[in-house]
Amino acid sequence: MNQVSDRYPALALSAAVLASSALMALDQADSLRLDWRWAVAIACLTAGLGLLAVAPSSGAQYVGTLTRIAGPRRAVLWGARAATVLSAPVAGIGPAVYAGLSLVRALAEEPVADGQPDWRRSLGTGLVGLSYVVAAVTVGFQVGSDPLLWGVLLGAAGLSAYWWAAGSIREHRKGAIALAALAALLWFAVGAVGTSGGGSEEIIAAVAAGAGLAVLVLAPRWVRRSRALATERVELARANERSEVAGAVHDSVLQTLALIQSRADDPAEVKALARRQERDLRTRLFGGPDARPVSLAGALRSVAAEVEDAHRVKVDVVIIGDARLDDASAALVASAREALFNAAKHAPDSPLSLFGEIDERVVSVYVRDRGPGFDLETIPEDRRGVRDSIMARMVRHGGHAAVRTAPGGGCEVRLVQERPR
Amino acid sequence: MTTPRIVIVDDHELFRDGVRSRLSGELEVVGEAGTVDEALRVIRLTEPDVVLIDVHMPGGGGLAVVSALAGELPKVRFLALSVSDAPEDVIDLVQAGARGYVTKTIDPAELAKAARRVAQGDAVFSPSLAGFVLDAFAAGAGFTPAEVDPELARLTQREREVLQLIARGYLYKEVGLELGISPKTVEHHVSAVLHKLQLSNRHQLSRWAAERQI
Repeated sequence: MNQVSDRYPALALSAAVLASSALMALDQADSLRLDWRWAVAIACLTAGLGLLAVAPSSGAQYVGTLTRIAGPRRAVLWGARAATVLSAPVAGIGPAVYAGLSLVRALAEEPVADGQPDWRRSLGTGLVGLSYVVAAVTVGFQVGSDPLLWGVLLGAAGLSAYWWAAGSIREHRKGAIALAALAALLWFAVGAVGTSGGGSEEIIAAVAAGAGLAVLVLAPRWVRRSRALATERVELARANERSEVAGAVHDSVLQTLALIQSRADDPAEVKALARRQERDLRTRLFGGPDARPVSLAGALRSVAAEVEDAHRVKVDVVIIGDARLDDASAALVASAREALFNAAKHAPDSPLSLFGEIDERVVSVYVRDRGPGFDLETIPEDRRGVRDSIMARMVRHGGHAAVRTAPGGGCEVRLVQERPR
Repeated sequence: MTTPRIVIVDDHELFRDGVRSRLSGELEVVGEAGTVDEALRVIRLTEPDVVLIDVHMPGGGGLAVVSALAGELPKVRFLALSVSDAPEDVIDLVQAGARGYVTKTIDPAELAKAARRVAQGDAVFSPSLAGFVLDAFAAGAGFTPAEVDPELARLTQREREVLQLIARGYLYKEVGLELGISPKTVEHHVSAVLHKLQLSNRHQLSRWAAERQI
């Protein structure tokens, strides 16, 4: 495929050389009254268009300015090209517009990160741009030498060349050499005008135009390079993030999956592993202010997690509001923990709910299970869990606890504590 | 009661398979979709009673589907499913017109029940969504949305009680028993809260939810 398509540029170049030689020969023979520059312009145009025609369609980034504006409408594209060339004699309007559009595009559009320009497209665009300029120079040479016109034309040349030179970082060197050659050529042309006109005004204009050319060529290049650097930084940050995520996935998810496979015969264990992993990921993804160890809500969540791990149960946690963890609320958390452990022990197969509401005046915590329930009156004195750990502790810390249960109706422990003012 | 016809929208095929096989006895699964575009097509084609819709999907997620269809197909009701307990993921969907939200870890029987409830036009609040709404409205949070009716910016005492019990893990039936009202009245209160939620200022609510990370 490549071998075939590589022949086309050579064909295009040969056609251009042949066309220009024929023109020059005809000119020499006085059949045509053409300036030699016209031959150069036509050769450039032929070669450029030939190259563009054979170049594989590229990413949008490297499409010429006119092609980009015309879009898929071929008639508009060729109309715009013709208008650019034909309006060159009128104070360089066409090339000037082309230059302006190129500049706007270069400044306004984001680079496509992973596009490599085809050299045929770059060179073709450059040659077409050069042909515009040479044609305009020729006309300008005939019509007269207005310094403003020269500046405009040189600007157009620079921006045409931009697409060649700035298309690719890799082609940096080639582009620089080509630019230097182009600049020298134009400088020579301008110099010729300067000496033929003989005035210092023209020389100053030529110098100014040369400086303008340098700015116009180098500015877009600089813009592009700084953009490339920014893109690189973004890519680097992304790569870092990816490797961080990969690390986290490896440490947690893959380990858990391995464990699950080895424990596949123990559904309770598998469930517990999955649940722990879920909690871990949740904290990573949505982890918020609750992660602080000084937070009452965080402390309640962590005791729920502890119970989940120890008893292989699921605890639905809903906490509203938050407060700093102090001695009193730490006692409340300890009571909630005790209640959760009791619930998990007595209602092993039912989901547990932990609901906490923390407002300015009071903290209420509810621990609910859907187990068999029990009759409070029948708990013997020596079963100290509920009475000591929960009720007495709550009273000691300025709160109280209540248990609601009935055989068959599950159990709910309610812990209430006033908050210090 | 007729069996509700449902469509499952989730980008994980495995999850769709699981839901379908577990619900097949209780509900009629008439379609499935794994992308937003597919979902729009399947739902328009089948006009199901209920769409179980995943919050997180490529291409705009469940929100894109609900926003596109809520006005167009008023008879199709949406129940949002999420792996996350974080209501800020879900609040947008509820505001766009979803009738409720449950987490994906929900028990299959409960999911079927929730889908039936949604099919009847009722609302479904998971404990965490109930907690979120309580928190949001209690704090005042500065969203005084319904200029027309200040009542809409507040929860009534009864609504608060209902939501609190749901957050505590009570089923609707148990909420009714606890408060001495019928399950139908519980449904009524929950639907009223959903209505208030849908009228609230979306951006304030979302931003507030994101900040709170409930």
